[in-house]
Amino acid sequence: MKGASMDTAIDVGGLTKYYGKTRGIEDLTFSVAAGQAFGFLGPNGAGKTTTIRCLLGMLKPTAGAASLLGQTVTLDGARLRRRIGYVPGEVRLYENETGRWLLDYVSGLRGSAPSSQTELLEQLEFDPTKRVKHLSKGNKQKLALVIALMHDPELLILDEPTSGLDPLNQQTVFEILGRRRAAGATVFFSSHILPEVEKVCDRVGIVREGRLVAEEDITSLLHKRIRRLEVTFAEPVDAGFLEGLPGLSDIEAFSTHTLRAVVKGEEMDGVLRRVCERRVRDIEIMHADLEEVFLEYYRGTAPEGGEAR
Amino acid sequence: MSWTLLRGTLHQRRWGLFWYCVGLATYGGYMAYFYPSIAKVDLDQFLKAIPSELYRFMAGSSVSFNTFGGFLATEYTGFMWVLIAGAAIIAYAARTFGGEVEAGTMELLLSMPVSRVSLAFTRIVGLVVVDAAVVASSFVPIWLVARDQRVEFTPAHLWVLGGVGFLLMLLLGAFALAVSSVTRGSGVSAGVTGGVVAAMWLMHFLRDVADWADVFEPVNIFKYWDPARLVEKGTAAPETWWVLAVSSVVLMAVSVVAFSRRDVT
Repeated sequence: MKGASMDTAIDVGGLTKYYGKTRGIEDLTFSVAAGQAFGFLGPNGAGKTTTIRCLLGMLKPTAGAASLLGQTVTLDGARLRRRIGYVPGEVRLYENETGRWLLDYVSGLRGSAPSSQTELLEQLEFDPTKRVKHLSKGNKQKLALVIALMHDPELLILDEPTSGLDPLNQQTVFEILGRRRAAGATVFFSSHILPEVEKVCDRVGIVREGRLVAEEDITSLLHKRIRRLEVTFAEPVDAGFLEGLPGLSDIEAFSTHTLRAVVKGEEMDGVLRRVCERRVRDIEIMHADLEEVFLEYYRGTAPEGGEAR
Repeated sequence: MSWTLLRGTLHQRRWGLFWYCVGLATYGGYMAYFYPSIAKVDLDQFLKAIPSELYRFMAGSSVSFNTFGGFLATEYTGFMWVLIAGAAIIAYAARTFGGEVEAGTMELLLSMPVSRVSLAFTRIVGLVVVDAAVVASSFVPIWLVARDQRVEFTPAHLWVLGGVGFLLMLLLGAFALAVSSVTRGSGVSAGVTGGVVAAMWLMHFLRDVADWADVFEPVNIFKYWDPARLVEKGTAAPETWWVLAVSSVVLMAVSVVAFSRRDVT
């Protein structure tokens, strides 16, 4: 790894982009520390890709500014892009060329040795001899990943990088990203799939309708997680036994001995104390994934109307 | 300029360009090969049957179908060559910016450490190379076959016809490039350029039959394309050279500036 020495890898201030009168993103402000993995979460059309294109200098912001690795982003920031690896949300490459040709072409454009190319090709089990038009969606995604990572960039900007990959290859990508992070790279991981962000990131920004509605450490976000509780008692119990406890909702009697409920936030301790007042035969606590936390956020922090791109 | 980008750009168009050039070489060689046979035929009766406006439209200033310049202009360089070669040049230029934005491949290029100005300039160099290949494959075979057939078509004739042809195509390409630099998709750029070229051609034709069409003549590039005169006299007016060249350079500069400032979505 070439070593990211800056304290802040990504610094975004008041970033706004309008397409004519249509809002793409509005007043986005956040920063990502060097070496951090930042999850950029939002549903399709929330403004994730617009943000990334502003960060890469493909779009000129209507207002605000961004800097990457200590350099202000401009439309013509060629030197800065040498230090960045980018996987687009929709991989589109030269269809009539082979993967090998593209890898050589990109290396030539970068003017730097593709030091990790062989390793990545092996890890992702990608055959570069086929023409792009003959590749499946998953294999095109693998090729885009190799192109983005093969020069060991300091900053990875990944727009839904596991799209089209099977679970095994997704796991391989997470492992590769983990190694890159360990080597000091910063990861900006855009996705609408929360469990994969949970695996990769340590900080999360949630964007909706072009605005950043939350920004938290992943651990803090996980503390707000929703857990499903199922307790089987040794004797018959009524649903009213658990009622009135803070953080507990959707209490139902699944059978005469079993109660089900949803526990939100930090209230598990009080719930367990109440449960332990009776003899317990079995207990199961299922952690809801970030998806539900995400939806919970949306319910609570919906920005005012306006069109999102 | 990026040599890697230039090589890549030409590599991606290599087969299309190759077969286009083969077609143009065959067409031009065929014309030169058959000229001696046709020149023996008295075509006066045929010429008299054609309205003078139509004849001027096809052959420019030439008044004789039996001269090599007149024959070539009527049968090939006056209209068909502009159509065929122009299509190749416009197709290249239209794809250069807007076409790649639409195809999504511009996103890959703009994530590379190549500046937009360098990218645009490299693509312009690519246009010059494609133009040179198209023009050379069009006229060099004519010169070679004409020499073999003992038709008077000297290297000086070749230079003038090829030079003005090159600049005419460069101007068409530069216009398409300028449109492509601000639009999304090859079709828009090719359509706009094709429409403007067709309108100019039509106005150039109508100037002989309608006075109002003269209004457009000062900005009509086809008044500089008189292949019959170029071949028969072996010279071109000085303004032909500089107007076509300067207009091309201005449009190319416009396309570089426009592309370096545009959004790529």
